[in-house]
Amino acid sequence: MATPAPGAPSAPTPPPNAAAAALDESDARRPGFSKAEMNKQAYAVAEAILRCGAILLVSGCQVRTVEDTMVRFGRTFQGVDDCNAYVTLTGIIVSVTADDDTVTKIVRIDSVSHDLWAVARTLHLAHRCEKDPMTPDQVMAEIQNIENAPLHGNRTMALAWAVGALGCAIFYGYTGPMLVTFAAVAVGALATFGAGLLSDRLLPNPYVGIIVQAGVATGVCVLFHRFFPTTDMESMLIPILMLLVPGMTFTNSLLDTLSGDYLSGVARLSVALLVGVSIAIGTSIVLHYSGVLTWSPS
Amino acid sequence: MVSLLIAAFGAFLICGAFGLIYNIQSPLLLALAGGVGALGCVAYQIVVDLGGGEPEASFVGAVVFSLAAWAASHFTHEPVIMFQAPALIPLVPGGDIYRMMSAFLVGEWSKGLEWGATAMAVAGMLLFGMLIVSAVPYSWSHLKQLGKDTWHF
Repeated sequence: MATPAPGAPSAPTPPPNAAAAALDESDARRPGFSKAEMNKQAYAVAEAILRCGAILLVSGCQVRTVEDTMVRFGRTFQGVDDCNAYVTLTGIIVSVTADDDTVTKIVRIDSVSHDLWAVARTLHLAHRCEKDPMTPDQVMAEIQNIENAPLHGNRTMALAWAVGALGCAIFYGYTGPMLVTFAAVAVGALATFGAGLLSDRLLPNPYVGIIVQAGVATGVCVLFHRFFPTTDMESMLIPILMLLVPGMTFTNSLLDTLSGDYLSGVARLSVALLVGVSIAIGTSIVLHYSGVLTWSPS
Repeated sequence: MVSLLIAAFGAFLICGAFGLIYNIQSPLLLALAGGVGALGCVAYQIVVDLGGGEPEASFVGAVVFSLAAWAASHFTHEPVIMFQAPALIPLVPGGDIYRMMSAFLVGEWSKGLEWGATAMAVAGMLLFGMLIVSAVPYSWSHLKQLGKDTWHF
């Protein structure tokens, strides 16, 4: 503390309690918030932003979109001086600065899927907060609603797989008898979906599950081809395999790389390649041992 | 004309189904996602019918579905990804990749590499088409801001 000049009126004595001093100091800059409350606020904000970013990333959003949304979202909260986020495909780090204190939180992301509904609701929430700021507790309540939103049931998903495969058969064209081809495609899609459900529960690794699914799809097509020799294997198999092909993952990997997120771009490309190789392994094993296509080492 | 209608119907089914798989909850949004994808696939089919190759057709298809997705997003106030993601699926070169794999399996390496190169070209053209369209609103908003800052209008 500076020593007052001789003859100058003496400065008011500081309160004896250091915590009270911190309170007074803080109150002058942030009316209504103590320092302890600011820390708690920063933790709550960091937690809210982290959960929001996790929903976006797990639901298949691009990395740049996740980072931008988290940063803009964080800066809408009262009392937050700065907010930064670093996002990769396997983890998110967020830091929130409030009243010269920085809170950093990290979360590990285990797997990524595609949930456009969750992406849309989370982006809407971030947009609403920019127009009309909310408290962290209100945001957490909204985030929990998004996380607990119901997904489509297994029957609806099975129907979607069958209809999607039939749509592929119609769009790409087919050779051979129409009804048998469409029946093979629909049955194959349903069997592949069922294999996927079982392998999710029983197998330790998702790529082994994809090998099984590709094998089941190929097996159904081979069976139909055996009973109906006029059918074309490609016309039956490709529509079903289109359901497994990682189109969106591959596109997002290129978009991430072009946005400068090289780590996430390469990670997503690895995922897409692994899925592609798994499909190839599953299909080729069944095709080889059923005698439809024989491996040639040359 | 009939082939275009069949392509549109097939694409509508694919995109609607993938919209369900990607957990789109609203029937209106599912129908719009299907419609956006159908438009892109019709554009693809038109280019193929006129003698264009797969990469060129994929580029045109990507531009058309991206434009339609932006329009649908503006109309429904939902993110563009909700319409772009399902619309992309029919144009992804899954068939080319399967043929590449089959060719490698039976030892036809040059044929397999040909299919692989086609698949990469198609994927690149899809991405290029989507990027071109997404660059337009970005550049337009920055151009408006530049105009405001320079000429104060």
